Amino acid sequence: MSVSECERASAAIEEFGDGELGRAKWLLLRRHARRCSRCGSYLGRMKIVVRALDGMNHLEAPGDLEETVLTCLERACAPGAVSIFSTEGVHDHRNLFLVAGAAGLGLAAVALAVVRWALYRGRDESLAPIAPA
Amino acid sequence: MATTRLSRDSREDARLVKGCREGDARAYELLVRKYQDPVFSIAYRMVGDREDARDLAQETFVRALEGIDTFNIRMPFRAWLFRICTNAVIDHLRKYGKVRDIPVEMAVAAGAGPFDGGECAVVIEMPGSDTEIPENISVANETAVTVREALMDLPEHYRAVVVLHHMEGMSYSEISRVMEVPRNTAKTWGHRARALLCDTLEGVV
Repeated sequence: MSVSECERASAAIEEFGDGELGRAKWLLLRRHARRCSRCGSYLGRMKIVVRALDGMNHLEAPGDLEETVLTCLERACAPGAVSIFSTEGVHDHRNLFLVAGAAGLGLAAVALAVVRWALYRGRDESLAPIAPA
Repeated sequence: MATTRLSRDSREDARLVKGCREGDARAYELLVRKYQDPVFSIAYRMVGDREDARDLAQETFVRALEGIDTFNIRMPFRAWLFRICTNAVIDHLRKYGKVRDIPVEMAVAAGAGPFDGGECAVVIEMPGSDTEIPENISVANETAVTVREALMDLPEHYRAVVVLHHMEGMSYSEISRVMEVPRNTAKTWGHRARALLCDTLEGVV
């Protein structure tokens, strides 16, 4: 079997896979595939693949999909609403957490300073050098 | 961007899109109702998980309808919507990997997986074989399941082309618009995808 014949057959098998193979080319391909086991096997597998793929039907969407989408859109379209896919809301929340965290740390530092001052105030006085009589 | 002559269906879509832009809630509803099955199916065929597909379909519609003002009304709405869907799916697959959570056998038994029972009834005629024989039907169904299982292992772009071409019946020109690649690239991806699927059948049939 010549290489160019097999190359042509391979190209025809690809066209068959695309669903674009004309009748004349199909007859030539079939004749070649009967004589060439390699191309015959490839054509056989391609037929199976194409049938399996063409057998993929539309699946029915979940019953509540439409309602969920419309509810999302209503929410997104409400005045002052932030899009559910917008990152603005995420940034707002992130900023809020940062401010709250900073405020918390500040308060903790102040409280620590107050406690420290209260604890060491008496001790500092007791350790103060005694004034000469 | 090049414009195409719109089909009757696309003109109807364009009318609905105009309605959406004018705030007609009924137009939104009709567009969602019309495309919910294909969008959900594309997402499901690509991610292989019902819940993920549902979320991706929802994300597709919300993104599309939020950005409806950016849609070129002279282009087919279907291709634009499917582009949003495939982009969302590819982003999702890149983010979470290509893990399929339902084993094929379970999916077939439950009729709830990407290889659901209804589709496994597809009978593949082997050249020169008698498909009426129950044993042959069983073998044919098994190979169909093998092919669809192998589909989930293909690179995302190859998978998208195969799903759009075979399930949606889209031409490579339409697919090139959806995937935003030249027509020949889409065609090459389709050929490579099917060649890889054929390879998985080597030794099986």
